[in-house]
Amino acid sequence: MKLSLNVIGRSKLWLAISGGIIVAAFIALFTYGLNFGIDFTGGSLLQVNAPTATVELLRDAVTTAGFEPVVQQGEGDAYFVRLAPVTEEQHQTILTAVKSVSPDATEIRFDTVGPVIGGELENASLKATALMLLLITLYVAWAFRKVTRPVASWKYGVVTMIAAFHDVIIPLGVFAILGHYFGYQVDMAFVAAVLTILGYSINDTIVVLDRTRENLIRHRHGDASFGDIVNKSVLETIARSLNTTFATLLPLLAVFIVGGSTTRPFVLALIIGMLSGAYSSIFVASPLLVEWEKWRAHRT
Amino acid sequence: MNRTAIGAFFLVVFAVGAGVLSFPKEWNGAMAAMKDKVGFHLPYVPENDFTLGLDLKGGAHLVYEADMSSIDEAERETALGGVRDVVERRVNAFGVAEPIVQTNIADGHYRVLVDLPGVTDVKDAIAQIGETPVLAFRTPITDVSTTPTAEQQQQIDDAQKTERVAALAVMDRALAGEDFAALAKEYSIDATTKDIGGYVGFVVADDAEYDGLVTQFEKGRTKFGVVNGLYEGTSTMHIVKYISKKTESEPRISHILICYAGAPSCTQSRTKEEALALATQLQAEATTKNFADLAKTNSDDGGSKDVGGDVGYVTRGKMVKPFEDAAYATRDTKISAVVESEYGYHILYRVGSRPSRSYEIAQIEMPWTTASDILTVDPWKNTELSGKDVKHASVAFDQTTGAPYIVLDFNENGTQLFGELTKDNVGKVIGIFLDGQPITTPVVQEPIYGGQASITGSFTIAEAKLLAQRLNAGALPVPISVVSQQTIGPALGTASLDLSVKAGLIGFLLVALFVIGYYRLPGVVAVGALGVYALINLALFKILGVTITLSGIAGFIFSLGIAVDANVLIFERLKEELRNGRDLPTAMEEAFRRAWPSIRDGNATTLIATGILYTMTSGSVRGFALTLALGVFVSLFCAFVVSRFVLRRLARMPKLRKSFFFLGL
Repeated sequence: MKLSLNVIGRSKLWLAISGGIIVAAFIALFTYGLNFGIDFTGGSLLQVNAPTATVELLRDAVTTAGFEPVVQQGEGDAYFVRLAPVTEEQHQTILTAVKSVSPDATEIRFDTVGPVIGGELENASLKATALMLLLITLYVAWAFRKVTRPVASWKYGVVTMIAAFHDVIIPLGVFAILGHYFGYQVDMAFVAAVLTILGYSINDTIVVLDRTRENLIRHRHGDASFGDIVNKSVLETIARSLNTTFATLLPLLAVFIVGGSTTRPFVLALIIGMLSGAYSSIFVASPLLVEWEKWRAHRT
Repeated sequence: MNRTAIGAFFLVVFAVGAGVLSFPKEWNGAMAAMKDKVGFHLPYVPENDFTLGLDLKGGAHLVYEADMSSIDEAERETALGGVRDVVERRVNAFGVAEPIVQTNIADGHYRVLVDLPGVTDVKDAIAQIGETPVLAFRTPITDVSTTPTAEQQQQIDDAQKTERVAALAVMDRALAGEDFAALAKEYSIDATTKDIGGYVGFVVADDAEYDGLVTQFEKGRTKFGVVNGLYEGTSTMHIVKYISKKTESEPRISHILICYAGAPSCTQSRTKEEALALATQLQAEATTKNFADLAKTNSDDGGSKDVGGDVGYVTRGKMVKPFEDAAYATRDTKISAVVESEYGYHILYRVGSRPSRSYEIAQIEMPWTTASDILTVDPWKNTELSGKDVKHASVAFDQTTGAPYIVLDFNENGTQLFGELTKDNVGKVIGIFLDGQPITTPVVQEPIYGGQASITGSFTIAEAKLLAQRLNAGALPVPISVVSQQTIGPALGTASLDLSVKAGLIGFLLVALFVIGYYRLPGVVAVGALGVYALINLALFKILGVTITLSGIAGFIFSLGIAVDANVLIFERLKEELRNGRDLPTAMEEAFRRAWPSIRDGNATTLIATGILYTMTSGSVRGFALTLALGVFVSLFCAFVVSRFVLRRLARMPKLRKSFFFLGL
């Protein structure tokens, strides 16, 4: 099997596709916003199995008990009741209200997060993400420190970060849409997924750029253009990129399909990030590097 | 070839070792089967289970915030330790298996985190844990009154009146033919029988609780069925259903006990095998004539050896089951075979028997107030002095001996009260109680008026610190309140666990199929390495005591992909090197060597991500980070040690060098 795809020659097409998706993701983010879970906002979440209830009945019963619930139906008889933070006594009152609608109701889980803790978690996630970006930029600059021609090593770092940004913004956009229409929430697990995607996407990009580095050193006396060398490097690593992504997606898909509803949003975020990561390492990072170099050469 | 054999041997031992640690039950089962079949077996291993997180086994996670506003900045950390201790003692009182109580200080917030596995009804737990601790100073009561005062008698009479009416009402319903089991379930206060239809079993004449009842039955006039009349126990009232009666001969037994080291209350050092040998020998020697002498010289039952082993008549339900069975199975004047019980080996001699009648009953137990409920049985009485009068407790050291002791400072009111209290109690004990439990009971040496008391004793430094901490916990006002709570029902936990395990297996299978299909022979090797990878990971979870959570399993499954990635990188390199015309062994070496920088760099970024997640978050996200990071390290080992070793050996086999098997090129 010999691939003769000209990735770099169509740089503008690939970048345009990515640009379009990113713009769409931004529009989704600004139109719908993210549906933050109680991890960040503070609040309570009650999950019950209530065989004879309906969303309306539950909402009325809990409202009558003096609360402002948002009720959603899950799989089968499961219902999710979201509320402002409640005390244990209020929790019992709500349970009584639920049982008045469905006497056989059972509580599956109950989470309550005080507003202070929510704020702290939000703070911690932002800090974690910032720290992550900083450390990885430093790492990439260090890893490529020996390559300076024709592209400075810090540019590899920048390109890698742009690819990483691409892979984070897309799941965010998808979750804005899913949050609006299907109630998918952004919680601590989502943050973990995003940070993992960051790690993974950068891993993927580094492998491709690593090959560029190697080929640049090997062909430093040749007359191949920078674009050709990059293209050759991408083609040499494309099988690995696709195979690895596929091999990682397989277990994730297994968890997504049979792993139960609790981890589904988390795994979905990982899957979207993985797909986007595979795309960006092939079709975003390297073309961007070449376009940047062309632009620089053109200007001077 | 020799090195290959040694390497292969170690690899197999390593993989099997990891497998055994991961699945000890299955291993022990296999070894037991092996022992049956071939007569010997490899060593058994301890059966540690995986530590499952709350989200997989169900339970409650509570976060309490301590209000430190009235505590000095410098004291807060110690005060939080005191709160933790109080919470832990209360949690332990619930009888929860493996509770975890931790403190957490972040951004000026002082918190206590409580994990209660298996507890989903947290209403009571929250109420009890959250109460402010009570420190009380108490003195012993010397004159305990045994007769109720007129006022107390009135109280008893009133209570009994209502209780009798209630009991009679239930009895009437039972007599009228209502289902006895349902009534027992609804009204009985006896936890052991209420849910089994009130069934008690057979009772006999010398049963302390039912002797009056049996006396009544023995008169012979009671009919089967619900008894028309209440039976009064010591402080309970019973509605009784008379089910049947039986007469059997009750054996009188003498016995010789031969115990071994490790059996309950055994002082012998002999092993179990030695005990059995001795018992067997004595059983062969024993006759009805010499039995008493043998018992005197050999029996380890201190209670009966001096009377020739005589334990009297063996009533059913009084002895351990194997002993009782043997006693009833042996005929009069016969000696039994050697009988094993938890106490050791017994030889029984059935001296004789007597007829014994027993009566089968069910009951509904209802409350019945008597003098003993009303009269104080608590030998301590409260004094006016309490935690609010204590300013502070600290640990100090004796200048000459260096022994630690506790210094207790009182406030103004406390100084006065404590002065009076010590003056009245010189030479007597003052008990200091936290939440009703005594934490120390010092003896007053002399009256103390200065407002500062020292409690001396043979404390270790740790004990002294703990005591000071407990005294402070009761003295310093640190109210706590729930700020976050998570309750996961056991059904959800089990379902999540099953689903995740299923997902993991399917994921593994899919990856294996893909890798083998695409990379042929090296793919098979990679899947083998992946299997070893999974086993090592599971073994590490056990060895390191990693708490497995839902997200932890997700991290583990995700890391399967990463483990494959290392192999994929190497194999892609290998293909390239082969295409470039290198021979197989050289290509192999090159592939491993040149794939390494990419693998290293890629994994470094994943490790940075997991490092940040682990240090900056808590709870489930942390579990994910930990399993993922472990996965990265183990995957490197598997790719560069396990896969490399096997592939190198394979590459040397001439027949396999045809590249079709390698990679299907």
